[in-house]
Amino acid sequence: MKLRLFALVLGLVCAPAWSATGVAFVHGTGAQTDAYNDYWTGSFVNSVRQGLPNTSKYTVVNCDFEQYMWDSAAAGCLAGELHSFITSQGIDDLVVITHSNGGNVMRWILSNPTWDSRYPTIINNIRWVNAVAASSLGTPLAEAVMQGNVFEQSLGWLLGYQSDAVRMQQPSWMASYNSSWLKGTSGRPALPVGFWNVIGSDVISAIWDGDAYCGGYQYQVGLEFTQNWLDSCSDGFLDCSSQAGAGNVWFYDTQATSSELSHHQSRRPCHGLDVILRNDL
Amino acid sequence: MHTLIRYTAGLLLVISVTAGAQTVELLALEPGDLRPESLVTADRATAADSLNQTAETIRFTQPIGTDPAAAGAEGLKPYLAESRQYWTDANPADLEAGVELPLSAPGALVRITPLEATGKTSLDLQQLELTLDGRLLKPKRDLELITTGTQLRAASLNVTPGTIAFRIRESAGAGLLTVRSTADTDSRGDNPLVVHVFEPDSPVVARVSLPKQDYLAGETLHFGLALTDGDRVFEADSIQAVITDPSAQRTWDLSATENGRALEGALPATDAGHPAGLWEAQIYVEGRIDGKQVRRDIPVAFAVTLPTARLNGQAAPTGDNGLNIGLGVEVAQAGRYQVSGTLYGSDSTGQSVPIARAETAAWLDPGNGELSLDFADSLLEDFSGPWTLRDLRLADQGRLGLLEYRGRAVTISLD
Repeated sequence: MKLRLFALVLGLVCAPAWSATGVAFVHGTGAQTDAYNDYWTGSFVNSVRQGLPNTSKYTVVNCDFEQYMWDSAAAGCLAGELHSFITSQGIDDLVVITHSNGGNVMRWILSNPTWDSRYPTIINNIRWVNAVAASSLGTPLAEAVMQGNVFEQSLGWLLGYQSDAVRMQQPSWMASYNSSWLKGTSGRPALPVGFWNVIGSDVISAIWDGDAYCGGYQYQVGLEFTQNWLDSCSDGFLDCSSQAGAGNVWFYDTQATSSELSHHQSRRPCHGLDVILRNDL
Repeated sequence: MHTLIRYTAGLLLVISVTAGAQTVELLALEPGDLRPESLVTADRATAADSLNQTAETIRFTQPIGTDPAAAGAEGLKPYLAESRQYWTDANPADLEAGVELPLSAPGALVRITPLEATGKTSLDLQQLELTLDGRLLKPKRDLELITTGTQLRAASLNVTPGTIAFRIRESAGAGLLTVRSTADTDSRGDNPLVVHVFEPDSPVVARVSLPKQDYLAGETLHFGLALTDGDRVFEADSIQAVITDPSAQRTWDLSATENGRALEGALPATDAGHPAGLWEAQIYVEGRIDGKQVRRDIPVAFAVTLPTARLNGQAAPTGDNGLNIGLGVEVAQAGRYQVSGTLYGSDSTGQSVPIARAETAAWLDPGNGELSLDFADSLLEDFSGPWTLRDLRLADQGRLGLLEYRGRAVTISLD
């Protein structure tokens, strides 16, 4: 007891100014009010945050990513939550974990530091972004659901059936935004912080394969069909090329996890992903 | 292609100003640069409200680091769109009569989506008759990957639950697919439908090439078009093309030229549409290749900006911490404008390398204003002149539009 008390006092007297590490979870397309339960699940969040020196230093963002990425309800909301987390918790070493379109909204902030006075503060306190299944080059699936035949109907009639976020994630739309407003893709200026991609490369849906059941088998069935709209390397929603389109590749699922990660499984504690993200903190 | 934005010989853009220890020279425009020939004032056309009403001037400078590739490449990027797919709209009456879908290769994916989630239209494979060149297809024998809307929604594909999708087995081949509803009239509903056909295994692809994706209102569009199997380029029987504004409510025609190898049209001179959203070219191509009818739809997006500001040719040193470059901006309509550029200098070997990228945004009112790019002394310690500013962009930040681009923009010398 004495020894522990002495050690405690010694530690307090001699402690260096450690940085405060935090982690933020940024969801994908959709308007979230309870992303902790609805998007990530508590088991995923709670597993990852065990890697923090102080496990309470985490935040799960809830914003409306049905909007265009620059919208006040999207990047504005994300900036508000991250800025508040950073300033109220004294975070100066923030790891941001994004999923899917959340990577695009985060990349908007990183690429446009002069859009909002909060953005530079956020950028300057981020260690790096771990972008899981990022929609950096968009997806053909967004184009599939947005289009119709203009000669038989006014094109505008289809817009009301899909969100601005889906419209934005069509490949030619993302190409336009990547060429002028987003950084980090090929031929563009680099992002100001590391943007490390985790890439899902396949959908396991065989009924006899236990790997198909993590996160819920029902999600794998539809993803197996949607894979046919995509390249041979895809997570069922995004081509691997899109997931790797901005920043740098951290790893493909088969390089580090115990099985392939579908687009749904990459936001669940599946195949050891949560452990990898935890250890990265 | 002649566009609105070509530099004009003799246009005075070179101004040298010596002030203090710096001489800043704005260089003449070069091929591939972008600049409005004239500005649109509010009395001609009022620009849309800025999406960003922030009045505060915000500056940010980002060191490039040791990898020159981190500076990015100069120039406006071209874009190539490819398609092996098409869409067709239908209604329940069309489905009752039979919707014809040409398939040019085996293994086609077909998705039929009723657009209203609460509509009566029910898509049940048991109530759909599928024939291929008149031959009846049997689901168990000829289809695979039969998937419902509910399953697709679980895969993050936002379609209505009543959607049905399937793949034609390779063994069933290709030809004219007819999809006909056998449901009775009372249960067919009145729900509009979209039918989407994707042929992943077809060698025939339609390609549309854009020289860039950033245009100014009034520019002439010239896109390349090809229907090809990689070895052969085919002549299309039919080419229809329009451009749409971001609302998708208004369209303008594109004309097929150069024997169907190009599409041309003009953007409205004083209309860029709402800044939230992009313009699109919608291109519909049909042809007959190796005896099979081929349909391809190619949607491709691009940005259009109302020219409300441009660099006015003034370039001067400002500040006294490192290199500070003030760029004059002629503003026709108020908005939040942004300038960005990459500073190059010489490293210890004398090689020109990128050092840092700076950007500044501020609200500017009509008249002549200034935006400066700042590179602090601490960034320049390991470098020397000659200094150049490259990849210079002036953007209407609040309306998400690129106004002016210069690959090689400014030289700075320290006296």
